[in-house]
Amino acid sequence: MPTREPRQTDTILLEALKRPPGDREGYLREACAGNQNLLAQLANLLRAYEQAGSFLEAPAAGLAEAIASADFDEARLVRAAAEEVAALATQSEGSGPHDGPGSVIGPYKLLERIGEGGFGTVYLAEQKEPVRRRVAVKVIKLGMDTRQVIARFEAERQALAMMDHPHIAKVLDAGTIPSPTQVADSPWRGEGQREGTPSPSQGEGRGEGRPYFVMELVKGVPITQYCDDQRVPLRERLALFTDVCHAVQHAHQKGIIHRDLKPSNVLVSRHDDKPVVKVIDFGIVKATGGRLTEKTIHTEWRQLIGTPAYMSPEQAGMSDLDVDTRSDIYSLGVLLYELLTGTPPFDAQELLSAGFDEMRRIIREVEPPKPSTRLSSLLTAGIPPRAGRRGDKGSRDQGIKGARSEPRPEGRGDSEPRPSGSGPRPADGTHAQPLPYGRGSDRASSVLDIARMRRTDPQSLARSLRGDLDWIVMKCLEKDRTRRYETANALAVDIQRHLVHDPIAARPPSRQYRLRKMLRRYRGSVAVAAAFVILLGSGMIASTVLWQRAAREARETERQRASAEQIATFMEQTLASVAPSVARGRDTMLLREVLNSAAERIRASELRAAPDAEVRLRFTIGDTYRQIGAFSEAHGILRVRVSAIAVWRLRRASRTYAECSGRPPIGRGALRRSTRQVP
Amino acid sequence: MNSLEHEITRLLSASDGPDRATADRLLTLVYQQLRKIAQERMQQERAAHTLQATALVHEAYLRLVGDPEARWQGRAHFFAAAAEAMRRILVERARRRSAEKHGGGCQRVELTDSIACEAEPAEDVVAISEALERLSQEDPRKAELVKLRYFAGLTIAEAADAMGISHATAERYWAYSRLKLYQWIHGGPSL
Repeated sequence: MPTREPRQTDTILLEALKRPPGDREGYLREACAGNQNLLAQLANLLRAYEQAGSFLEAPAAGLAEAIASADFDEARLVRAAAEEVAALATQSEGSGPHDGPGSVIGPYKLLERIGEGGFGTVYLAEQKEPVRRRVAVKVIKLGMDTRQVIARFEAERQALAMMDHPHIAKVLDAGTIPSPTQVADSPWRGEGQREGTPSPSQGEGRGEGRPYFVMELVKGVPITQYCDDQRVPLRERLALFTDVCHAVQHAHQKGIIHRDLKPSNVLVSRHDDKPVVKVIDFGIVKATGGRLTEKTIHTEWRQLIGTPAYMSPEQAGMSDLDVDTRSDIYSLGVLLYELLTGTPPFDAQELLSAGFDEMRRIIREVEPPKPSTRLSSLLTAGIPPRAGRRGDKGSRDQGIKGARSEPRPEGRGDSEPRPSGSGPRPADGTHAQPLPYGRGSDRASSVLDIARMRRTDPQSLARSLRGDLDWIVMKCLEKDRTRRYETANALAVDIQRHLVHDPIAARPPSRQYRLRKMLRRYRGSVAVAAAFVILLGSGMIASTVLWQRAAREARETERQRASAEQIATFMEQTLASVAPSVARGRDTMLLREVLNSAAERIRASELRAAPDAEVRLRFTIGDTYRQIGAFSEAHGILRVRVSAIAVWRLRRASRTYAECSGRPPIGRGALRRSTRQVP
Repeated sequence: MNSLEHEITRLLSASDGPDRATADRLLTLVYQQLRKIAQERMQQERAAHTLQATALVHEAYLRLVGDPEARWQGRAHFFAAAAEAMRRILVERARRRSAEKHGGGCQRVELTDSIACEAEPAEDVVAISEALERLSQEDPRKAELVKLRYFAGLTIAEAADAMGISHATAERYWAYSRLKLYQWIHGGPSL
């Protein structure tokens, strides 16, 4: 084990310091192997060690004070410091341990760097044996306990191997790369644990070397980016998202929790011109230690600030033991939120700048706005999503100011809807780890853009989020995980239900809600049913009117008028609930016939005795005509002669008519005149 | 704030480290942020000296960069910039203080305990800074590590990470550099 090669001073020094004080000198003598010069130098350093105490161990004091009260030439200071930093950057270039393209790790040859993230660097690599294929190799950055990472990975390996799902990128292998410096300076330990079987001879505390993971190669971009770039409409976004749910469900069934679901771990690529989702990094997050564990912000803060925007309340609670599949459900909810509204429920930037404890508090306690609320609050305020995020009044006002100072050109070219300057992005987007997911809000910096990326307008987007999707998302985001969806599958099923207009489970079912759903689902049949109702209705009106003629008493007349009113109300509601606007373009023929016949009867003065009911019916029929695009019919039925009490209704109708036909509204005078022409 | 974040991200993601102009702008931003935080803290709590370099630098990082997914060499640039800015500030202040002490228009005061206490860190900073320059000629990477540890308050693990070296290497560098600097400053027998 010992070697005769001369070792570097610092290596021997540290080794000596690790020994009990009595053994140190002896060790030095042995290690220096007769090199008197080296021995003397080291002996001096050992002596310095005894006196140094905690010299330099605490960071420089008085810093805040110094910097706050600094009154000297700052420009000069900055210039000088910049020179130093620039010089340092050129020096350090290439001196770090780069496992760059060309190097070989076990059976994998690194070809090119394709991504970088908080964990480390991802390379495109070629595997030679046992099969020749291309893979992605993720080299975990330094500073993690390699032994633990590998051990944790090994523990889950069996489960990972059982995962087999078209929407999950497989993790194929893991291992350790000996760090180059270690190889160079520590010849007695330089074996390098290639195959992920960490030898117990490794240094205490942190293991050395760097863990790496080999994954199925996925050429894709984060799902949010894909959807925005391709301007994917809401329905297709939901379809893609249900694929993600199914992938997560599959992993959960195999006992694997992802723990870090976020856009950059959900990649979309195109196969045969169809988008295909792949969830990457299953098993890796757990192996690399989950994020929010026992550490505090002042020690290993970097590892702990994982992806707060996607972190579940229980993860923010930092009880690692307590994380289960429902944490993934939460993260799925955040992902869905962002896919729908263009922003995560809590802004990543804002969370981070809130400071650590506040960040945890927000994630655990603050109820985010419903997706539709988020959208419509942006809409009414007309502000970029970043401002006014938490819906507090003060900041929203600021946001408005901000928006005014930065007007946005309307109707920009729609070929490339992405505003520029959305941060660094890997050239081909393969395994695009480093994408700043939190920048979603920059990407779509106005509601208009958000809507445009979904091929709709802000109003209809907010409308389609209201209701079901709000409920579904908010159920995922419940702070109390027992109230979330039990499984990813349940979430997917609910989205499916929403897509086919079935009642969803997330929503407390009300009778009205279920009825509305039924009407939507059986749109065609409802239209037919409504047609009969109308026929029946006009028949009733007719008979009522006949009967009314027979009745002489004023009381009787009055009662009939009331009932005609009721019938008119009934018909109004019926026609409104059929929502012909939705049925536009299909199945309107029957409806039109029904309307024609009703209009005919009205023109035949069958309702002369109940003018108010007649006006209302005319309005309803006219409006329904308008909605199915029969403008001239609408015009015909709305141009009427009735008693003056109904003039205001006519005006309303004529305004509606004018709005959609583009013709001038019937003037007040003309209306009045027409109502006076009683035959 | 938005455009600032963008700019910082861009500056930090310069792939091979900042060039002269980038470094200049980066330093200015980092320095301004450090100063802003320090001043806020001074107002908040009178005992601002409890604010450690660690907290100061990390907070500046969060505010300026925020994005945890930023390229991690970017962090190295950031911390190098912050550490260098801090070092300059402390040295500048220490030099001024000692200039004032050496009769720069001030009256002579008897040496008392309180002055002695105050003077100590100031002296240290200048000495440490000079020793660091010496170390930098011997081994710039080691000097860099000390700078990150002492002026930016990073832990060994964080500094290792920022510099792209292994934890073990960082520990070796640190043990050696700390003692070497001590030796130089406190006039050890050799060199």
